[in-house]
Amino acid sequence: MPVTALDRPEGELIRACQRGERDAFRALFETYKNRVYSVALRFAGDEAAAMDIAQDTFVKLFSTIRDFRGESGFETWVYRMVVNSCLDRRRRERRWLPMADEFIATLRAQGDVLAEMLRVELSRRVRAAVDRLTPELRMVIVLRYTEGLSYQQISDVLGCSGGTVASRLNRAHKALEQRLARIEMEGRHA
Amino acid sequence: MPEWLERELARELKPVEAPDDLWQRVHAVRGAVTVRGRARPPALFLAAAAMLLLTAGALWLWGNPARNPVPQPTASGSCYACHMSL
Repeated sequence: MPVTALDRPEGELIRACQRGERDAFRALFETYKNRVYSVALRFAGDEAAAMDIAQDTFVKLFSTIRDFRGESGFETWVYRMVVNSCLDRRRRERRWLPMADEFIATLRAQGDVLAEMLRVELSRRVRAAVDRLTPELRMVIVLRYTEGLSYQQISDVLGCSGGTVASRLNRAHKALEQRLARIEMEGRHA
Repeated sequence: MPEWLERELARELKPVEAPDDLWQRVHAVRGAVTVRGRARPPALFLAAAAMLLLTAGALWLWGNPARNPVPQPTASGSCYACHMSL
């Protein structure tokens, strides 16, 4: 059976990309597309923006892959690219999502319907609360919960200390808890 | 952090699959973008270095006419270019 680009070890794939081999680009894209898109979507909060960020990340990645010297892991390098694309887009847009308050109407419903509505509402609120975090806090939350990165990996990606990562996560958790505690309590009583 | 928050974050922020048309979009843009890196800068670098060398050489020659001897006849009929030790 012939060895396809997807079967090649990552180091070899990277070198093939650095030589400009088309199949290798596709294989590397397939390896990282879900991780890049997930970070973009969870950070940006909408699919159109996530597509733009993911596209931008891969175009940058492919056009600068010859600069990759292997000083950090390739995965860390990819995460840095998508983080930078997210933050760049954020800086360009300076867009804050308005948070509609439909919670009172939800509370008027009864029984199981109410519990289900609260579940949906909590889900919507979690996303809205994450969207309202500052970009720095939101990014550590996304890297931690979407990608499951360790504190050390997050600090490598963001280029800050482990203490800074811990502090940002702590601040983000407190902010989210404050914003979401009320609706969670209502959900438990429904 | 409360357990419910940990649970909600894990659920709401779980990873997703990239849409199928992402590759087409990347590929369409990448068609116009060449892989840059070591291939181009050396050519530019070499051209710049050659220009710099030529300019420096021209300036050096211009500033040191004595090092670019032109045969001068002496009173005795000999030549400085051929008889520098004189």
